[in-house]
Formats: sequence, structure tokens, C-alpha cells
Amino acid sequence: MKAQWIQFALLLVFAGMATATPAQTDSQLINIPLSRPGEPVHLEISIVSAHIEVIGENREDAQFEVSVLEGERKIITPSGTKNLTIGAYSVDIEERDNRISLDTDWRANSVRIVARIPQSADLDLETVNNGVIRVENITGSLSLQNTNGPITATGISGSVIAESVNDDIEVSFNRLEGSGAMSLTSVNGDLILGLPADAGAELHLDSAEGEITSDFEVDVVPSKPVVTRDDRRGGVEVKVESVIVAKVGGGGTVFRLKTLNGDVYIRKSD
Amino acid sequence: MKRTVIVLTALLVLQNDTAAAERVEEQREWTERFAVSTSAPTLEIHNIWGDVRVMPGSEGEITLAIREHRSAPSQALFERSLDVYGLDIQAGDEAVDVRVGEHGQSWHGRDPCRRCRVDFEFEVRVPPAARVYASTVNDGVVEIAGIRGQISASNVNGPVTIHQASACDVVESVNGEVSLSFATTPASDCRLETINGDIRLQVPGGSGLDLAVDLGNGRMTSELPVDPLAIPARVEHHESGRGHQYRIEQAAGVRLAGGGAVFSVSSMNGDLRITESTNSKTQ
Repeated sequence: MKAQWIQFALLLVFAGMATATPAQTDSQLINIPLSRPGEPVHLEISIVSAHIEVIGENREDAQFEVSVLEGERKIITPSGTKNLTIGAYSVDIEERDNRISLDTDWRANSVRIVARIPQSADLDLETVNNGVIRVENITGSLSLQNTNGPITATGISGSVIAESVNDDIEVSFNRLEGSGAMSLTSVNGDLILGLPADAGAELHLDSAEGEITSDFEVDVVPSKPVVTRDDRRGGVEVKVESVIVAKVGGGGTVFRLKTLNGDVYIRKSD
Repeated sequence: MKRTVIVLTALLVLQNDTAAAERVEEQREWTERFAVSTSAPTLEIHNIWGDVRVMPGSEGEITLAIREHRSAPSQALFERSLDVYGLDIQAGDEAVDVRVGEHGQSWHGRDPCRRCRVDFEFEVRVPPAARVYASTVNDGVVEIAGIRGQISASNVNGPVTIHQASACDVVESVNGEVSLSFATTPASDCRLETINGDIRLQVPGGSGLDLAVDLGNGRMTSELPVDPLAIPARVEHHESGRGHQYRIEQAAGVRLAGGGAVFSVSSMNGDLRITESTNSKTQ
């Protein structure tokens, strides 16, 4: 009897999943010529709910595969309310002087974007809810924000600023070059930083509640709490931040990694 | 071309002697008749302030009953308003073209007659099979009834109402309701569009129709049975010297009774209501 109840409960769960899983519209594939082929591009995507995947390739144009999860458009008829297959929405993609932006109207509930662009690119990607950001094989300056979802960037060289509130961030470099800012910040997620085996880096680590694990041998540098004082708002605010400074391979590129409730992992990139 | 002008009422000039003594006003009513040699002539009528009403009349004739109320803050501007907001009628054997303002005039970026105003109320009778393009801009309605030819109608700050139509091309408003009822099942594609207003579509029971619906904040209701319809997304591409723009537009699809002509329906802030017309026949 108990087994039957469990089977029944599982059936309900799967039935619920089947009805709750929204359908996805057919993908639209758009190839965009660049104003200056062969030169670096800048890609900007800021959508409230989006699966954003950017893949760097050896190419001189940009290709976007765009699909939208079914909206919640309904029609009320005498026989009851019917769901329509697809809700109405619009997506705009603009290229100007090698700068590409993608935007949707507010009705596009959840958008899935796979962008294939030249490897040399600066990215500015942002999403908030039910979103994913994945980046592969890009050389450039990356600004990645996903408030309630994960960020994964692999095969990267250049600078990365990645921020999440409630999910993990994984950034893996295949080489370190340039002097741009490097920062991974989360509140409730883990931080995973992948560095080349021969990398030289200086890690500023701040994990209040989590553990820090490293594949590398590190030299921990004695450091003092950083005290900042702000009296611009009529009062005085004093902030004391205690960070661990650790050098890898004798030091080099500075990384700041900060999470409140997550762990920090320093990995060797493959 | 036979052209008959009948002035129904005498010219009435109202000179106001009160504090706003400078304002000059004039009101008049008259009728214009134009012979046409085809059973399906074209009427094109574009107003600025006031109503445009079109209804079936006699074969071989287009008749305009016109009421004009013209006002300006001074005599000089009143005289200018006669040029700027004049009534320009061009009539031929197969078409009559009525416009308030000069043909080809562009007012972008300037006010050609500050605080002038000329309201025209048009009541037009055309052969029932006429093709009609009718529009107004402010403080008016566009109302067309009982015309069998193709209809295009637009308003900016007011409603568009079409009764007992057979075919339409574009029916649109910006700040107003779009209401369209068909005497027979529509056989050709049409676009119904407004920004701030409901769209009401009334068709005979059993009418086959496909709707591509793009509603922003409204809801859809239908008295007729409907089925969901998958409509392919539309991709637009614009190229300029400075780059490329692409737009992917996806509409929600609704099919009535096995489908038929495609109606594109869009409103940003309004509902779509599909109802069944009575006393009508299905083609």
C-alpha cells in the first residue's frame, strides 16, 4: 500500500512537471555581418530572464540562435480558457561599428540565446531570474552578472568581473594576460577559479562562512584588515574587511574572490 | 465630370465681442455631389479635426455632406487658416479624393497657423461596392457602415468603427478603440491595430479566420470556438551604412473554424474581443 502511494505521488510530481514545463518556440538563426570584420567585437545582452551562451570561434561574423519559452497567453472562450501555443514577443538585435546588442520586449518570458562570435570580444552580459550565463573561448574584457543563476566561463583570457547573488561562479582561464580587473563575487554561491598550471597570481580571498581549497601550493601573505571610512552621508561608516592574500607561482595577476556563504576553489585549468 | 455644389445653409459668421473679441469664427454646411462612372469607385478622405462617416448611397454618385466650423485668434490668422486648413477635393470618374490641408503638405516641426482650428464633419454616401480610405486625427470618429468594397480606416485620438464590412486592409487607431463587424466571412487579409484601446472583431458564426495576435497588456476573449495556431516568427532586417538591425517578431496564433484569411491584430493596452454577428451570412 505504501509503495502504491509513493507511485501515485511520483505520478503527480511528473504530471505536474509535464504541465509546468513550458514549450520553446522554434529557434531563429540569424547571421550578422560585422562592420569591421576581423576586428574585436563588443556584445551586450541584458535580459531579465535568459539563458545566454556565448561561444568564441574563428569567424568574421556573428551568429545568433534565439528561441523563447512559451508565454502565458490565453484566450477565454465559452468552453473555457485555452492556452495558446506561443505568446507574442519581439527580439531586437543591432550591430553598429562591431558593437552588437540584443534586447527583448517585456513579454518574452524566458529567452534562450546562443551567440557564436569572433574569439576576440568584450562581453557585457546580464540576467536576473531563471537565467544561465555560459561563455566559452573568449579573449577580452568580460562583465558577467547573473543575480539568481550560475555563471560559467571557460577557455578565457583577458579580464573578468563576474557577479552572482545566489549561485555559483566558475571561471577558467587558459592563459593570463593583460592587467584588467579580475573579480568573482557571490553571496550564497561557490566560487571556482581555474588557472593555468604555470600561472602567477595574487589571490585576495574572502569567504566568510565557507572553505577555501586550492590545487596550487600557495604562499599566504600576512595582511591586515582593510578599514574604510565613509562620512559622506552625515554620519560615519567604518568598514573592516579581512581578506586572505595568497600568492600562486610567486604572484602576478591580482584576483579578488568574495563570497559570504559559499566555498572557494582554486583549480588548475586543463 | 458633373459637379454640383449645393449650399444648404447660409454662411454664418460669428463675431464675438467679448473679452476674446479678436477670435474669428465661421460655420457653414453644404453638400457636394460627384458623378462616378464605375460601380466600385474609390473614396479617399483625410480629415484633421472631426468625424468622418461613410455609408452606402446611390450608384453612380458620391455625395459629401460637409459641416465646417473654422476659428482663428485673429482675422489675419483666419485668412491663413483658409490656406493651411483648406478643403481640397479632387474628383474624377472613378475616384474622389478629399483632404483637409494642402496636398503634400508637411507640418513636421512647425505650427503653420497657431491656435487656428477647423473642424469638418463629413457624411459621405458612396456606391455600396466603393473602396474606401478614411482618416481623421483629433476629436472625431471614423465610422463606416454597409460598404462591400475594401476598407482602410485610421484615427489617431479616437475610435474607428466599421459595421457590416466585407473586406478590409488596414484599420488602425493610436488612442482609441478599433471595432469591426463583418457581414460575410472576410476573404482577404487585414491588419487591425491600436496602441491604447480595445479591438472588437465580429464575424458570422462558422467564419474561418486565422488571427496573429500581438497584445501587450490586454486579454483575449472569444464567443466563437477557437484553436491555438502556431504562427512562424517574422524576421525583419534593416541595413544602413552604420550597421544592421534585426527584429524577430512572434505573434500568438488563434484559428477560427478551420482558418482562412489572416488578420494581424495588435494593441498595446487593450483587449481583443471576438464575437459572433447576428443577421449575417457566411460566404
